[in-house]
Amino acid sequence: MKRASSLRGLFALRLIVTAILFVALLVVAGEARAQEVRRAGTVRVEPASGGRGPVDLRFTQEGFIGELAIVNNGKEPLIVSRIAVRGDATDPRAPPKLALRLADAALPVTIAPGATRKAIIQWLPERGVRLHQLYAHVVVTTSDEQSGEVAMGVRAQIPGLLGPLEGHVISLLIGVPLLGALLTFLARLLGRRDDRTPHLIAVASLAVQSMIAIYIYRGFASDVSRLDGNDGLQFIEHGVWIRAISAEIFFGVDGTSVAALLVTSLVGLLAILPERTVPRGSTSYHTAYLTLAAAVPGALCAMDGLLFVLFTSFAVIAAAVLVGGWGGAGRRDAAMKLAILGTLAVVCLLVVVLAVSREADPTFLVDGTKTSTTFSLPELSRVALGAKGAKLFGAALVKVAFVLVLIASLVLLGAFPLHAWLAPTYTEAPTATGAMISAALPTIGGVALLRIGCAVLPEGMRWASGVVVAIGAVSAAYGALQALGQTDLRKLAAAGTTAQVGFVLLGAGSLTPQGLSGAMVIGATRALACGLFLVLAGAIEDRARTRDLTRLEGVATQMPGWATALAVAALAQAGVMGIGGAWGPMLALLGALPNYPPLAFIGAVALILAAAAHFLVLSRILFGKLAEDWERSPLLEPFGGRFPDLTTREWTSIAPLAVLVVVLGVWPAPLFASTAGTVRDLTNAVSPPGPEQIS
Amino acid sequence: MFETAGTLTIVELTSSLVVLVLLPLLWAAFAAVAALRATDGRMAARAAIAAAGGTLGLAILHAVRAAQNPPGHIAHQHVATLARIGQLDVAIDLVRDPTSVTCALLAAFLGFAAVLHAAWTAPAGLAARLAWTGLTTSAVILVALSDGLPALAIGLQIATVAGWALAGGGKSRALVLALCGDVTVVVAAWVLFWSLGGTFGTSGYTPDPLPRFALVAVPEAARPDGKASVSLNTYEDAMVSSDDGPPLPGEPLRAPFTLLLGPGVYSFRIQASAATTDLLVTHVTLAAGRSYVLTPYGPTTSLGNLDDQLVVPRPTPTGAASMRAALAARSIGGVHVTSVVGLLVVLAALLRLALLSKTQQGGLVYALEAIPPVVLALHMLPLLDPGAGPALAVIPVVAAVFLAGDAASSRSSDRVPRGALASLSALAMTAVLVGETSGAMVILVAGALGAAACTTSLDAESDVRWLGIACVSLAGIVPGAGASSGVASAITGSFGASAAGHMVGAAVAPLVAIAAILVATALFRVYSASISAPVVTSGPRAPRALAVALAASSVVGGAILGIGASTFGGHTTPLARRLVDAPGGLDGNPRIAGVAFVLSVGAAVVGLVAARRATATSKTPGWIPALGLPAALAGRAARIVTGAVRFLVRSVLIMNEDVIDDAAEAVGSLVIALARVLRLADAKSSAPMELALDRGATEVVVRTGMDHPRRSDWFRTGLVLGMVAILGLVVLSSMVLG
Repeated sequence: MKRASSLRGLFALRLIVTAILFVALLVVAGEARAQEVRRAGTVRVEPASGGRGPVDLRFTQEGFIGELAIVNNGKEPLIVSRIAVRGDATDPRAPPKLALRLADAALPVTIAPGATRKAIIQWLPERGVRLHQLYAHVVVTTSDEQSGEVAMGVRAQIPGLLGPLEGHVISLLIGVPLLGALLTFLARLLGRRDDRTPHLIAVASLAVQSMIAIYIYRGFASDVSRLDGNDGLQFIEHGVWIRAISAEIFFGVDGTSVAALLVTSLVGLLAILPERTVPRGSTSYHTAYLTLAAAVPGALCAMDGLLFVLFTSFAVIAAAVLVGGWGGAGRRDAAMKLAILGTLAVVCLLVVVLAVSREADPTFLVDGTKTSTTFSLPELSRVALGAKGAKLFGAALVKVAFVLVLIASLVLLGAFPLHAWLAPTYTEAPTATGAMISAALPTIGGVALLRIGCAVLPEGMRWASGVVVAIGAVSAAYGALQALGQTDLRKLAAAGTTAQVGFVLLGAGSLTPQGLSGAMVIGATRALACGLFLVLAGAIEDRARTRDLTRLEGVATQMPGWATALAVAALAQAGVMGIGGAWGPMLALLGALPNYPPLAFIGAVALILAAAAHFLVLSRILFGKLAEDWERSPLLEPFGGRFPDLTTREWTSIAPLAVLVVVLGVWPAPLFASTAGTVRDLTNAVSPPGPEQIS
Repeated sequence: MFETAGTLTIVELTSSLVVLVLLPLLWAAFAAVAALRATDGRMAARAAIAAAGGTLGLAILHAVRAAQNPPGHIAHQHVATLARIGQLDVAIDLVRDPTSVTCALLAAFLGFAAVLHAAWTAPAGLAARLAWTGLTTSAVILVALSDGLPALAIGLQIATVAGWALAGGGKSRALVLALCGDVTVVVAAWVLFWSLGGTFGTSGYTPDPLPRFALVAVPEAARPDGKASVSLNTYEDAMVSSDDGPPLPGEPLRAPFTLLLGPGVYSFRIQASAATTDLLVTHVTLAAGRSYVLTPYGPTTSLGNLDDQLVVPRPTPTGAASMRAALAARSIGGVHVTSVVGLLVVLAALLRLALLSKTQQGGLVYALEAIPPVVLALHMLPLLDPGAGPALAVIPVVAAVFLAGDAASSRSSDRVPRGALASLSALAMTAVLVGETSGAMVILVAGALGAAACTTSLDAESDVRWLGIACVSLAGIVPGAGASSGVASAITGSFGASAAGHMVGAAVAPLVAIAAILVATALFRVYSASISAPVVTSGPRAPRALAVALAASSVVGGAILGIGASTFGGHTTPLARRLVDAPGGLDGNPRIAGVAFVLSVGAAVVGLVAARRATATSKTPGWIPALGLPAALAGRAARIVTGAVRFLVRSVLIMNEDVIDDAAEAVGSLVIALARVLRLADAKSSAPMELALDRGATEVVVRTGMDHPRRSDWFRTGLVLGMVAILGLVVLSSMVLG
């Protein structure tokens, strides 16, 4: 046994060593490639202030201004024939009002050997501009034919409430929980070995993270699309990370992630807030929880393929560690399932990212470095992979890659038939962890499908849309039928998730703006409803030591507050109109109906069955007869033989979630508004308007 | 290409309608408060009576305002825009026209009566019951006033939830049927939505290539000042600007607006939302003194806009084309799309009746459930082609026969008023489909009030004479009173359809009569059973007074709405007909109208006689249970479906345990086995240096104790800290580089 265990560890170690060697090899290769041969009339562009790019535009009375130096490194004169902002009318890349001019000459201009010319870059954002950042490239065309078109990155940031941190909001969003994780250890090192301190630190970190998420949501301009520049992204952070492999730090917020960021942050905070019993090994537990809380926004905001895979894998590992370390009796099995399927998803995503990046068109990194490989997802979405005839494993790249993305999405979403991790995780994980995972992983899965499946591989999506919709319809029906047979509250939540994410697939595969919007909205509403449901399941489990509905019949008579909140969560999971959770499925059905009427019909039946399942549960809890033996239960002795209703502390966690669920039911406009620009972009990608169509 | 002309629905300024939204909100607010603070039943009752009274007062106010409006003039309130995605505009819109306000008034009145009844009979859990009553009333009022799918769907679902809760949560089959009804409405709306534009081909749906907006010249509204006015009353918050040429005054203009422009040629650009491509209305000519409205065409969820599209032709490259003609050209599986939509809506409405007929809600709230099916039928009617209505009418009239038969065979007197009302509601739908909308209103009003009166009388065990009056009103046995003229109208309508060449209509009339016979049989069986009981006069006075008021309202309400001479060639048009603005198909044909009246009254009399015979002896005659056979068969079919669903559920659970879970475990085992094989193969073929590396790594693993169970925590902690470190590195890099 001992030998086997050590061999397993050895195997892992070897894998790590091999990976490190591989990375080192790539670094060396990159450096070697970077060696340039000096030629006659060689152009080089750099910020006038020196150093590498991008050029940071500074705020002045005349708008944002920066200077670019065009250097002739060669031994003969260099003719500069064109300086322009990269992009065109159909794909502007940069926000409007970005202008360029040579400092003291007109084009074309000749630069003597060793001389430098300066170009002035000026951005004049209008009052009330929607984009508060500028990320662009200035391209310079010269007589240096070997260098071809060279570029320099340009960036600017309109000052905001957070001052110098305004341009690093995503880093803060990820960094604050990480800081919390470190603080929990620091506190332990400083002798604070009680269970309360890490909990307090975790709550404080997550509260700050939620506030940042609210700040992002409030500051997010809903109607921004790619046509507005910046690839339709906001709160961008973009820098070159590992130049040798063209890996970039690239974060940004779009319509697929803005609501999800807020919801996952809130669920993360509110789920851990009422935790009555802190699991043993509290420090590690909270560290892992905070790591998960950091990895999720990272994955949601990652616009670089490698970063997306990195953060997703960390989210999966953190979730598996939490379930395996602090779960219930069956935690090891649950963690194993989550880890295996999660790894499958991560590997699929990694293969796709690497394969697609290999086929990228020549482009520039954010600092202007020319590259033939990029992991930038917005950049990859511009590559016509189908037209290139690229292959992977002997078949068309777009098709294979899309299948892999679909597999990864199905796993992370918890959709049929790759949902085996869902129920064990929900049932075995500690309450807060279960709620957090329920909010996090399916949301990441949805983002993977939309951001990579739809935006980067639109041809693949078009090719497989029927299959995606079919899997969605089957998943919805399967989850609904599974829910009908459940008597365990947490398993019901898992079945409800499988049913709801079916509509994500149904909507995304429909290729209509309505369906895509529905798919995005479900990501947020489902996370809220399921998180609330699991927190409530945890609350009753704390009191009754059971989640079995047959034992909990009629408990509403003694716990009206809990029952009301559960009714809200259940009706939302069921997709009842008027409660958050209905709009997404309705739009997904609308989207799927014109192209796939039979599958939409299955989806509609699934909606009815899911609703019936949840009503059945509510019937038992609200109108059933409470078993008399509860009065004599030792569990209720401290409370006089009655179930105590939710405590104030529990209400502080449950009430905001319940209110949000109800409010989004009657007023879903904020959710839809936040997705509008991205829906437009995705629709244009997967279902471009035909030449005969007019507005 | 962008110009057309026609009479649009006249829209009143929204600012004058703020209180319309209060109508459903008042009760809903009470329900919320009661749900949160439902400890004192008496206090809750007082608050509920105040809320119900307030709602009733508001409903009366709106009824008066609606009555003051000129004919054909309706008021419209845009409450909120929820989403605008592609061609979809999801908005909460309410409308105040005579039909909607009548239904809302009826709902408010029934809600008020239900509260009084609940407060006086004081059942257990009064506060919760009142809260659910409030929610039901709000939902039904919302359904009545809705001018679009979102409000309609929300109202229906809330009504379903509240109805289910009032029934004590049981009877899941009725709930499932009602849910099916709700979802079917949505599906019908979506089918219609996609049918209003675009094309379905072999490669799927191609969005609409026709203009989304057109400039409609309104013929009635001429301007004396020599300018042209351009309005946009829909698409609230959309921004309008000039597409080319000089900018419009004050552009971008935010909808709704009215703009005065000089005559000339203009182009407009409409920005609806970020998820919608800009919409263009280009090179349209504005003439001096004319009024124009920018009107959306194509897919819509707004009922008002749909009506406009059906009336005003849509501009196309080859000239204006009627949307009705476009719809007629579309079919699904060989059936006209409008017929498919009609069929779905009729089925949905009938499925919703399950909550009315198959649950034991207690109190009077059930009477509210009769309203949504009729409202649904009323909304759908303008869509249908001539001939489709009478053909579809067969479905509700058969359902009416089923439901009435079920009620007539019922052993429980409490269930009879429900069954009778469900049957009458189906009859009202029949009346709508054969073109007798006014008849439907009469049946609905008299039926709902009469059923509530029956229940109140039975609950209060009060003077049986008022139970009798309620039964008379429901059965329509007295010509002109209660539901009588409504049933007669339904028969007249079916004769009219038959006369117009739709032979299916001929089958509807006898079925209406059979349903009327069975309704009367059911009701008078209860009356006959009660008549033998001693008259109670010492009970609480208030419930008896309520029974009297409801019974009288039913009789008088039916008479006020339905009585008139125009059907027989006279000049007095019934109020219901003036309200719904629908001339009868056979006006001025006294002979057929007389036959219809004789048939309706005769059917009620036959029912009365049958009921008397059935109760003449203590033993129930054999033909009474037989009346419930169709319903029993339907129940058996439902049980088969339920059994099939249970089988599927069991299969899914078994599959989950035996396939899905095992597959994951098998994959796990496979991975481990594969790793073992690789390791062994590696060990055999590896070079001495690699073997040394392996040994070293093994030593590390053993020395660090990673193979020791007690060290697993440390390993976990190390793993987490490693992740924290890497993520921290990413964040730091981002802060420095990004």
